[in-house]
Amino acid sequence: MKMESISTEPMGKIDPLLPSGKSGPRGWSRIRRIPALMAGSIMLLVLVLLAIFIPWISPFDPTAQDLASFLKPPSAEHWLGTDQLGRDLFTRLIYAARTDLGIMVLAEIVPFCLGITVGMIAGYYGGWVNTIVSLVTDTFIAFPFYLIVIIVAFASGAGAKGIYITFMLVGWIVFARVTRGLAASLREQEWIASAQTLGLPGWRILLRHLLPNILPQAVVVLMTDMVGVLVAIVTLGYLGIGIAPPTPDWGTMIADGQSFMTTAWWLSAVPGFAVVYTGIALSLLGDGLADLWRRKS
Amino acid sequence: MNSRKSVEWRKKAGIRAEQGDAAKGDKLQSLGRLEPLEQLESLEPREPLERLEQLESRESLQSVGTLALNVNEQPILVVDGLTLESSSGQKLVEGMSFTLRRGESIGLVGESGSGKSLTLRAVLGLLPRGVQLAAGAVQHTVSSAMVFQDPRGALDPLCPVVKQVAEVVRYRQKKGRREARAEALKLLGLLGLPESLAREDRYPNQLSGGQCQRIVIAIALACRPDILLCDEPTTALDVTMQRQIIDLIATLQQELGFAMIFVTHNLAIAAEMCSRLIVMKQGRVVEEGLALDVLTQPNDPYTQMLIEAVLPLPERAETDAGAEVEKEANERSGAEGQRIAHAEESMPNTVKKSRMEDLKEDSESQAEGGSKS
Repeated sequence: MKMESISTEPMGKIDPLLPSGKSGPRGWSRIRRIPALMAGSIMLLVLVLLAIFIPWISPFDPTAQDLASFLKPPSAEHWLGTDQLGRDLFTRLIYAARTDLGIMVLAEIVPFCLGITVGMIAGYYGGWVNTIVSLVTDTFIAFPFYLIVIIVAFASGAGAKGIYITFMLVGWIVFARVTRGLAASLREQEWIASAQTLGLPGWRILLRHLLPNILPQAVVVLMTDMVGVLVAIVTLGYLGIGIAPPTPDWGTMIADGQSFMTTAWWLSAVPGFAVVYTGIALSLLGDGLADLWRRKS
Repeated sequence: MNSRKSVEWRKKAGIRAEQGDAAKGDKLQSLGRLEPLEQLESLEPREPLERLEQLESRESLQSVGTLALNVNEQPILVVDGLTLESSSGQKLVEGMSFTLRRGESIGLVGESGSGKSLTLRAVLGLLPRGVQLAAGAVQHTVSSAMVFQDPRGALDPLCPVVKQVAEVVRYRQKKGRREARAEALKLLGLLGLPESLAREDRYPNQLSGGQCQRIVIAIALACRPDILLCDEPTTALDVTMQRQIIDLIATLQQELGFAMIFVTHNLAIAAEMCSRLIVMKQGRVVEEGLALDVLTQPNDPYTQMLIEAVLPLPERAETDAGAEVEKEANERSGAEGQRIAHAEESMPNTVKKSRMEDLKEDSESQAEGGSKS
């Protein structure tokens, strides 16, 4: 059969294409219409900008002690007061955001990629891979999350390294579960079946067709999961098996301020509020992204 | 499932009533009123030899004609005693056998759930999960590609359409990226898709159903198939679009000379597209033969029923006056009959019942009054 023998005259009536703006305004103006997305990104942006530029914003060193001016209430000089060792609370708070957010993002990269890969392969190919993956994920989920986290963090030693190892071991489960379900349901759709019969290589179907359809959902899960990771980092710090002092960290700050609850309540309340603020920002961002992608499709 | 079936039958019943009126009981005439058979009369039965002569008379198609049809040629597809069953052992298709020669087209006709789509999927080697081959075999030496019932469902929603066509060209025809794209655009132009796609690629949800189906056909043709499998390619489209897609497939078949298996529950479409028909009911073949024979002298009452229940295709749209054509098409397709059937169906049972009871009471009270007086 020769394609060249075909006349190039179009057959049948040509319908006009729908305007490409059918699915709503594009880009920026579409983002602006989703309040959750706007609020979430602005909240997170403020925090990230503060964390980046804190050395220029604050004249204080987050670890330098000034025992002469300890437990000072908020003032023009010390915006949020000072702690029991005379360190500026605002400076420490933002430097702690650097530590905690940095660890949070780094600790999620490997589990995210690993979980999606494993889940996609298990869901798409099914069979024994799927059986093993479901067995492992179900077993992990049967355990209390914090029990595993604390045991692994304790075993691998305090500090950022322990947190990375912990989440590399545990974090991928969530993504694997979600992706596996999505891939398994997408596999039943006709266009995947058609792509298979058309002779496209399996890796290409996985990477170019399955992945783009799964990624939005996975990113939404990533946002909510990050909140969980942040809380876990702070919890480990609070329990003394996370970030070791004097590196500023919200968890250790809350623990340190506990003894001064009656005289200087803001010492614990402010870092606690910072955790809640970041959690809300990430959740709003996740909701907003889900909304954005739902409207798009 | 059951209720859906009954709705379908009621629709058909509505149409049948209308046909009966119009054609005054003459079955053949009533079919003649429907456009496809009119065509059939003017068209010789598409038996390969005769069709060959037909083709040879057209100069432009000579090369295709000589390549396409040879009765002595080995069949390119042999389905032999194909039996499919569900995992619970229920027979879904039983003892299905047919052969397909180069350039030939076979129509599989039957109601929903008669196993026609499953047969098609077995030919493609793509049985749905939970369905297995129990006996028989499908042998073919050539490539096949499928056109699906739901065009939107057959396209990746998050991948622009030109890219999707180009991807298949690239992997099936082993071409470079740029070459594949050019080839894809050529195919799309051939299928009557706007040229603006070359400048700005679109996602499937930005195209109409008919345009999506053209894309799906383009993807199937990008495989350069020797057999095109069509699984009710027009069912999900509106009536005017149905006519366009049918014409498109017919023209493409004449030009490219691929063989075709055409699954539909619409005998009118099958009669127009296919030289041979296989009528299926509950997984079994009830009738098989040349399209004209099956339509004019049906042996099985089920075939008879299908013929009477036929949904006609709209008139070929000569003008672009879309609205008018569609209106006309709606009238022709017995939309009135459908509407009446629908209205009757949508009348709540309680209303009917209460009306019956009213009548009953009336007659009773009358009877009482009568006995008193």
